[in-house]
Amino acid sequence: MSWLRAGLGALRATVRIAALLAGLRSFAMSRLRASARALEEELRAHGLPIEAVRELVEDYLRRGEEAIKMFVSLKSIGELLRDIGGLGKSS
Amino acid sequence: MARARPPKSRKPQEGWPAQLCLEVRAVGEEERGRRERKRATSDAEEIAEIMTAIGETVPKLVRDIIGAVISEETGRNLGKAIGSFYKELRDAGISPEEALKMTREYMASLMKVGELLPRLLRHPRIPVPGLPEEAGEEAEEAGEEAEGEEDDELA
Repeated sequence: MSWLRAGLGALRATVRIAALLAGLRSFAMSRLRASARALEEELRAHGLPIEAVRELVEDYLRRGEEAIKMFVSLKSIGELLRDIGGLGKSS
Repeated sequence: MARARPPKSRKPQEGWPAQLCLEVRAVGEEERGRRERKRATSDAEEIAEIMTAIGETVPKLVRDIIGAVISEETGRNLGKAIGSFYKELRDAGISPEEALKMTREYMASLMKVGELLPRLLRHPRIPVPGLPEEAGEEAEEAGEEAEGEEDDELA
């Protein structure tokens, strides 16, 4: 039954990685929201109209979210590891 | 009567009784199955080890990259740049609508530079305008293959 135990170990590790990815995504989103708040404060301090500030901040959040989704994914992390030499090209 | 024992190779030999041949074959198949199960187990163990290693090292790496790219400081700096740009335009006598439109475009261009950073981390070569990325990657792969061949020749 050692094969079953090993398979379960691999499955558990996969689930752990998926959970870590979700955690990283939420961490990145919280950083992005903090960044957007700072951006909003600065724009208001420079006297931009409120409507324009809201629009610019929404645009910033949307673009940031897209970048995070693109960067924090299994495929992207695999590519990153491959390029820094962590894994072979064939893997 | 003493029964003929199969040799260590456990392959049926000529002149053996049919029953003994069948037994030897059965033992061989059982052994092959056991070996395959063992190989599958070692593969699964290896995958589990790789997954555990990735789970321990990658999060820190990605967290650091995220921390460097997205932070309160970057938001503040972006706000300063955009605010100053808008202020300059207004001081130069440009209408609020026009200034806002130009500010939006300016922010989009700044954000595009920000989006390039993760790509630069992955592909540390600046993309050349007009040159398709696929062609660049193919050339890179061809170069790697050529290097590999040279290494083989040297070896």
